[in-house]
Amino acid sequence: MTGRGRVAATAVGLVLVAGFCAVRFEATTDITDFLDAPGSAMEGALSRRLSRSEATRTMVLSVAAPDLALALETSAQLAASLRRDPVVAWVSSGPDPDLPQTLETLYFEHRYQLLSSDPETSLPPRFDDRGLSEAAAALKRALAGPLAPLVRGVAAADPLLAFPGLLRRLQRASSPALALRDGRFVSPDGGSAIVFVGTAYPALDSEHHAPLLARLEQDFAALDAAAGGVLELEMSAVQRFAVRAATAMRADVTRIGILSAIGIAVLFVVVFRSVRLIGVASLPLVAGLLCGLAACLLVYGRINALTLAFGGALVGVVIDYPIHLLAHWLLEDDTPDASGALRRVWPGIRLGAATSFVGFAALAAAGFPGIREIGIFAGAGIAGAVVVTASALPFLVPARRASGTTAERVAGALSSGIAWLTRHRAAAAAVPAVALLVCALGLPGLRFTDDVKALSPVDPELVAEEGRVRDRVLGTETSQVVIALGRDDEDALARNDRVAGLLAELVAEGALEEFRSLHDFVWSAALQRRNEDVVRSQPDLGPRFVAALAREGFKPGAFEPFLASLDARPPPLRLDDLTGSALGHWIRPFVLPRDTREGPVESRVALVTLLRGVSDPARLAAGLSQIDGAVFFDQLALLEAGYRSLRRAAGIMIGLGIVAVLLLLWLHYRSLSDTAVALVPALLAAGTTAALISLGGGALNLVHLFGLLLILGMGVDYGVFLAETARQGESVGATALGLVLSCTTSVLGLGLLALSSNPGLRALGATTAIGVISSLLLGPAVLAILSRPDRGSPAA
Amino acid sequence: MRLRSRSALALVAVCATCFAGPLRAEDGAAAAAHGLDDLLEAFQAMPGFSARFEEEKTIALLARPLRSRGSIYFAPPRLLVRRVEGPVPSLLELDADQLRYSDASGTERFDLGANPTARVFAHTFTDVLAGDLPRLRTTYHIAFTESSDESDGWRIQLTPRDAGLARAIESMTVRGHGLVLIDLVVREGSGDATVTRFSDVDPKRHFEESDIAQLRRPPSP
Repeated sequence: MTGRGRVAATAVGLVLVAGFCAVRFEATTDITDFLDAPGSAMEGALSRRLSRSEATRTMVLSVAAPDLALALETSAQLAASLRRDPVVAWVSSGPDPDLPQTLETLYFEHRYQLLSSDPETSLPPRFDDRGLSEAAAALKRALAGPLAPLVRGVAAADPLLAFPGLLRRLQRASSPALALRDGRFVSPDGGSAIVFVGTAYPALDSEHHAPLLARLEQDFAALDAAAGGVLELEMSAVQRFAVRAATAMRADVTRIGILSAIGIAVLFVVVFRSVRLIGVASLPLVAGLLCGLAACLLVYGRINALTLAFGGALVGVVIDYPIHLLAHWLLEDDTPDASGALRRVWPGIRLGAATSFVGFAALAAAGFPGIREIGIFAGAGIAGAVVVTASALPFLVPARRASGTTAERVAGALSSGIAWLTRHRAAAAAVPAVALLVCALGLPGLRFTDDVKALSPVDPELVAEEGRVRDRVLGTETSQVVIALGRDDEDALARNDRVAGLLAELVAEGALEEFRSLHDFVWSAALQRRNEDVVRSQPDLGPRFVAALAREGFKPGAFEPFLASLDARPPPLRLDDLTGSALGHWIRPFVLPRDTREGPVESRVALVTLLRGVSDPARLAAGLSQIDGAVFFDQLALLEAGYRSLRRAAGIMIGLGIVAVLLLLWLHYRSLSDTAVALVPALLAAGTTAALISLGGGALNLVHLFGLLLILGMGVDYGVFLAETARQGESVGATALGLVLSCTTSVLGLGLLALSSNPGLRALGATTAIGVISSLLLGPAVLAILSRPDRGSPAA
Repeated sequence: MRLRSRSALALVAVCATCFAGPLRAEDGAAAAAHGLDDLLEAFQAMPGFSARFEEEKTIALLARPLRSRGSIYFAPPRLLVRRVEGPVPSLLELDADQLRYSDASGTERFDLGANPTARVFAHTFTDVLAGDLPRLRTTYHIAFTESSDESDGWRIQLTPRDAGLARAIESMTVRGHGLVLIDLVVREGSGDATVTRFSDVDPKRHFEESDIAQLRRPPSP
């Protein structure tokens, strides 16, 4: 096939891959992909469901003003605007005006089924003669109390006052911390108007929530300006953290990307006197990213945004291939064209790519789906980049080369420098000696951190505001929950009944401050039937109670509806009856979204109970261990534990990758010195980088580990190119220039991320920058020390 | 069955007990001559209000009416306190939308904001004593009659404008003389009725903070 044909075939291939990616592209921001440690699939699945739940999608707005009327007016206007927004699923700024009718319709006929969580024990004393006399007296007192008209309306059918009792329980459960003014929610101190907003997309979907929050802030700013700048809007919204993080990262990447692009353009113009070659050199990287993306879409049907970030960074290693090709094409006169240059550097590219592939693909063996995905992305990316480098790159490079270039002068200087080091091995040894010294000083004190906050920028003011609004409105910590799992609604509700019973005991014991449960709204059908059975099993309940009522001065004939109600057997209240009703906003946060297409945990019904003030976790855990299908779930603790496991697993996989690379190099070279030239600089560079971070007072996190993996990949590439050059007895000038260019490109491309405000990006940038520079210094030094006299000087 | 109406009724009953009282000639003469507007303007200017009451509730379920007696207090702008001394002591406090009820069995709090209808009725009482005629007119048809003979006083009949409320509350009728309330009759759609008669009415009552704190003390168990 001609060169033009190969270029055309490569282009067609890339277009097809790009087309496949465009058609099949589906991204997720689900961090739980990275937290599903082997053996913790259930926690991971539940965490995923929690992150998609209505509770996390609900934003709380708190509007304060010098007087409450103005705050209420402002909140009403914001609510009206939000209701028109397509991203918003629902807005609630006060109880539904039809709520009383809704409650009556839903609950009145079930009043005997929802009497007691422990009917066999608590109900019989209420229904003996003494209990009924007390109930009759209570009814008379109630008729003189503030709710007398309510009581009068139900007394004939419900003289036991089961329904008013049920209403009180529901009132406490629905909005425990809120007060109401003019039928609208206000904070308990009466200082702020409160609006709840449910969005139609998962909380971490910043793409949809960014414009929503921008519109909200814009609307509020206009209202505030009209009010003279006296209004204050505070929010509790997971969406805001996600949007803030994504916006900051995007801004950083754009700013740093521009700097990188300018730097690389200047570099190529100075070295190659060509801007066109930037495009040529970028082609393997583009191909690698496309192939990595396509592989993930093919295997998983979607890609995680974190895979794109970390996998993309790892694939950045392929920039070495075109740069070495171009350096040799530019400098070596005996290579008539770029194809000749490719033949010269191909052994190095092939081996470097193989080592990177083995090192990165080792990640694919990890138990974490997210890490596996990164391994697949990086492996496929390197393979794709190598294919494009070999098949098309030489034919895209112009036939004419500039002469007398800066590159020649730099290559000459580098070549002389390495030759000098080869002659003065003691001086060369100083470089790895310094690296070893740094390692010796820094590595013993190396610390790891599993604080998730180290990865993402969390504005302390935002956190404080979130806390203020949550304290003001919700009164519960959503990170600590109990989840009751069941194969269907009834099964889950039965377990939820038991959980509620246990938690009530813990509250009584002082081991728990309070909890909010679906149990306040609905019980299992079995418990409802038990209540009904106890009521109906009371001998002569109707006549005895009517007699007791008569003794209190009631007219016996007025209670026919009550006597008739004792014979009715309505079907139990179901969860579905509530979720589809006007109470749905209060009910749905307790029910995790279900997906029967996914795993066994996802397909089970999961009911959430929110906890506050767990002071005795051991007692809670012990109690829950007696309830099959009940799980205590601390999201923050789980996140940290998952992150810790992830970091350890990544560390192990990187270690295994190093061993695999070592074996590969040994099998290829069958020489200790050549293997050492290829591997030792990379290992020392990674160690030096970690040691410097430690000496600087830092602790290594997961991003640092990926940065170290990238350093190992690049460092081994550097070593391999040097070793291949030495083995072939060629001039080291072009190779050294390639290394300098590769290093500079990496520092410009990734190292500049050290300027980012995002801790994760900053960690990746700093690690990469320190590591590749260390590799660049160590590679020639180790080569000089270990070069074999029988091959002559590498610079010859 | 309509809970909203029932809750509203409850509060109407609460409010209703706050009106009425015996006539004092020096107060009645001024207000009777100036019609509803002037009467409510005079209420608006009141520093406070207190009275004793006797209440009789005729309830279809009961063979005999329920009777109670006690005192009622109003401190502008929105505080109403109703103390029942017998036969069963209790305390009811209505401050804006917050209603607190205490008796020997404990204290319960209700947020009237949860029920717009109940809230409207609850504020009827404070609207009258605060002289807020526009709000009363928003909720009720108002029939005001005033006798040409000053000693016969005036009569305000409130009929809910909303048809749903009208089914629950047929009418509320307040009688008085000047700023002194004589009685209040609440007739419900069900046929039940509450009649509250007031005595020892003091429409110039001024409350210090310490007085209010004293009023708010729950009854002894």
